[in-house]
Amino acid sequence: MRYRPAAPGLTGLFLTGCLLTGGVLLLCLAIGPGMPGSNRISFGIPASEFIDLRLVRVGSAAIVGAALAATGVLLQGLLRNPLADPYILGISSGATAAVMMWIVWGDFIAGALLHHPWLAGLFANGQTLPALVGALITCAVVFFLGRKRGGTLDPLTLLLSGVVISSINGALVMFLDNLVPYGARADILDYLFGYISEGTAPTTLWIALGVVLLGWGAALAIGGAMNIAALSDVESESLGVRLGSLRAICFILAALLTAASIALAGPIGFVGLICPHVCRNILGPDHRRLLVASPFFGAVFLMLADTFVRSTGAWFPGGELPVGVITALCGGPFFLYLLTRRRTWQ
Amino acid sequence: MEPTEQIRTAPPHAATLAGRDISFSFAGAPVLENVSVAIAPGRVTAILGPNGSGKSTLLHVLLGYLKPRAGAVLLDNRPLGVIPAAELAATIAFTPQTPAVAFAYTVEEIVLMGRWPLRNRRREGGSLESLLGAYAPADHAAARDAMWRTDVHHLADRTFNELSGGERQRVVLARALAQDAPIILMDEPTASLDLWHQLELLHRLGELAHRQGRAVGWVAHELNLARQFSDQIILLHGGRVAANGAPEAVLTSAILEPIYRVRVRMEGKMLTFARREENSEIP
Repeated sequence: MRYRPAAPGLTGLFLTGCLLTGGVLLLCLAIGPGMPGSNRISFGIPASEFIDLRLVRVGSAAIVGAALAATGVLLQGLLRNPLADPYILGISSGATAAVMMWIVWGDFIAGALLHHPWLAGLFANGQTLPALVGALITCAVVFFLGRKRGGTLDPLTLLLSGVVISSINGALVMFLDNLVPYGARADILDYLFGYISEGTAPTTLWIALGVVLLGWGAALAIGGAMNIAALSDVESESLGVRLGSLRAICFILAALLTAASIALAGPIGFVGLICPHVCRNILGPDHRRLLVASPFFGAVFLMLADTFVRSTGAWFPGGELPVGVITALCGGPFFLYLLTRRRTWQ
Repeated sequence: MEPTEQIRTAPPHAATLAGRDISFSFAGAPVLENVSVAIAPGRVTAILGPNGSGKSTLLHVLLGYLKPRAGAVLLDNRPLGVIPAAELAATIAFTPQTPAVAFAYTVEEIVLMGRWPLRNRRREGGSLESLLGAYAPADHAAARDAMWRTDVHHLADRTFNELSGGERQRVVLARALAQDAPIILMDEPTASLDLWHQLELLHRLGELAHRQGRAVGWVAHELNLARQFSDQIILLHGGRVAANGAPEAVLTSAILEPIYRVRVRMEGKMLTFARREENSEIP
C-alpha cells in the first residue's frame, strides 16, 4: 500500500470529509426511531423532540471524535512519536480530575467562592470550564517538567512526565470518586469511561463546537511547520521553524481540544490514537493532510460507535454501554494489529 | 524530466558568515574557546580537527542553533540575534551528519522541505492550499531539479528512512540545493558516501562556491579530500583554532603531527599517514 504524495489535494480531502461526515450524521440520526433501547431518557418526551435530542447526541459524538482525532495528530507530531495521545500525556486525566472536583465540590465552590453572578454563570454551565482549567493546568505541569535546561521541550522527557502525571491524576479521580455517596456513583463511573449524553445543555454543545472549530482551524495553520519539525531540532530550526513556539502552540491547542471533548463526553480512549494512525497509513505522514482528514475520520468513527451503543442498549441488563468501552474494544485490538503488521511507528 | 542546469535566474546575493571570538560551553565544560572564523562567498571552507575538537559545535553556533557564551556570529556584519528566523533560514542551508526524520516521509517530501523558508517569503496565493502551507509548482520544480543534481531523482517516492546513509546524505544535499541559500553548511557530508558520490558531491560544492558565488562550509574528516576540494582550511584542536588558511599552508606535517598524533608525510600532492610507534599508549 504505497500512497502517492501528490494524489489527494487538501481541498479534495476537505470536501470528501465534509460529505462523508454529513452522510454519516444523517444516517446516525435516522437509526433508532423512538430510542426504545435507551434507559437514560424520560419517556414523557413527545416523539417530535426525540430527533432534537438525538441531534444533540450525534452532534456531540462528531465534535468529540473530531477533537480527539485532531489532538492525536498534534501530539504525535509534537512528540515525533505515533504512540502519543491525550491520555498518555495526562491531559485527559487532568481534565477528568478537574471535572470530578467540580462534580464533588462544585456546589460548594459556586456557592461560597463565586458570589459574583458573572463568574457563577460561567461555571454554572456544566463541565466545560472545569475541564479546560484541568487540561491547561496539566499541560502546564507536563510542559514544565518536559523542558530541558535550555528551555526546549524534550519529547522523551515529556512522554515520561505525561505517564507519571496521568497516573497521579488517575489516583486523584479515584479518591474524588470515593467522596461521592454510593447511590450517585453509577453515573460517575459511566462518565469516567466516556459517555455521550442526550442531556447535554445546548450552550455547552455550542461552546464545545466553537472551541473545536477554532482549535482545528489554528491546527491547520501549523501543519506545514509540523512537517519540518519532524526533522531533527537543528534542521528544523535551520529551516526557520521556531520549535519552542511551535511546541507551545501545539500543546495549548491540544489542551483546548481535549478539554472540549472531556466536557462533552468524559475521557474516551483510543480515538486520538487510532484515527491519526489510520489516516497516516492511507495518506502518508504529511501533517497538513492529516490535520484535514483525521478529525473527519474521528467524527465518523465516534458517531458510528455511539450509534451502535445507543441502539444496543436493550441488549444489556445494565442499559447502554459507555461509548468508551466500544472504542477501547474496537480500537485496542485494531491498534495491536497495525503494530504487528507494519512497524510504521518507526 | 530532464535536469535543467540552472533553475534560478538571478545569482544569490553573496553573504559572509563570521564568528568573532566565540566561546561555548556544554554543561560547564568549555567546547569552543575564542574561535574566530569566516565562511566567505566564492570559497569552499573545510573545518577539520580530531574527534571532540568542536567541529560540529562550531557549525551549530554558526547556524545560530547554539548561542555562544561569549563572542558573536555575524551575517554580513549583523549579529544573528537580530535577523528574523525566516530570513536566516533563507540565507543559510544546513545538512546534518546522520539525517533522519520521524514518520515515513518520502524523499520528495524531504527535499521539498528545503523550499519552506522561501515559501514563507512569498505568500501571495490566497487559495486554501497555500493557506495550509502547500508548496507552489515552482517549489516542486526546484525540488525535482535538485534531486536530479544529486542523483536521487529515481528515489523520489521512496521512504526516506528506508534509504542507506549515503543516499540520505544525497537527499539532504538536494534539500540544501532546493533551499537555494547563499550560504551552505554541511556536517561531514562525505562520511557515508562511496568514492564516486564523494567526488561528485565535492565537485558540486566547488561549483556552488566558484561558479555561483555561494559560501560553502563543510566539516571534513578526510584530510586529502579537504585539501583537494577546499580553498580554505580551518583546523580546530581542543576547541581552539590551531591553524586557518590555504590548504598548502595548513595541511603540513609540522602542524598536523602534534594535533592528530600520527606521522604525516607529503608524497606528491597526497598526505600519507602512519602510526607513531614511540607515542603509542596502548600496551
